[in-house]
Amino acid sequence: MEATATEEHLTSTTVTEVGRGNLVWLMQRVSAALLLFFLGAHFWVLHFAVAGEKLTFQGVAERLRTPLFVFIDLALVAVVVFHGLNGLLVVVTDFNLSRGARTVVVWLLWIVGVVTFLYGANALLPFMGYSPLFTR
Amino acid sequence: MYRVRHTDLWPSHYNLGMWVWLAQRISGIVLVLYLFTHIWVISFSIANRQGQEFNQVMALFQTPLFLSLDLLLLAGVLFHALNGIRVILFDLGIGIRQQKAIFWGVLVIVSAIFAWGVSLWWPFVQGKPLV
Repeated sequence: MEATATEEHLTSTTVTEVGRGNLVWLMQRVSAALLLFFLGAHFWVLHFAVAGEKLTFQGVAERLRTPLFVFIDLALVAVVVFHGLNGLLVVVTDFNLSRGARTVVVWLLWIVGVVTFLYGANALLPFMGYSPLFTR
Repeated sequence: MYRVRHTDLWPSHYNLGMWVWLAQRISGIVLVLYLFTHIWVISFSIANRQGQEFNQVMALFQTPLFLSLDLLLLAGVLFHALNGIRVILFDLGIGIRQQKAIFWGVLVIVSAIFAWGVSLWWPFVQGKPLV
């Protein structure tokens, strides 16, 4: 009976952890697919669509008058930050950190990610008709 | 003691697939470093709505040093993206046995798009953007 209990314990722990791992793994794939679209659009619009176009603030501001472009930029920042930082976590995980060290890394990555997204969103605020919350 | 030196994980024993895996990792790490610099610099420069700062930054990015780095960026993004599709195909159970052939296919597509990018990039090197 004791053996069964241990087995059950091991099985349930393993399944939970694999389950969470699978979700993160899937999200890395889904964000990759989204990036093919968002980053493809980013490169296309800024560098390929009009051959040899010089990037100016006026041009960017003009484009951002269309709410769809603001939305695409916000989504791009969110997805690319997730994909990049989760990719770093995958690399870090392969170094077999202790559970505590890994938790610290996860928290650090979350802070960097959230702050970076807020910075990106803040820069887009003026184009949505609001003042930026902070400037340098 | 576990002797990684005697396993497939040691670089001198790598097969093509392992090198590609390593290249995906390294390009990923480099792209993350670029990405955060990019988001922070652009956000800093754009948050004041007047735009002088953004245009100054763009002028800096058209100096020869940054233009050369742009090519590195384009190559890195193209490789990471196209090889990423290759990895996702394997996850879906497609083409695992043809992984080497698919890698060469990836390189062909990357090179083609890269060449296109270079042709759009060249006018900037000459200091004559087309538009």
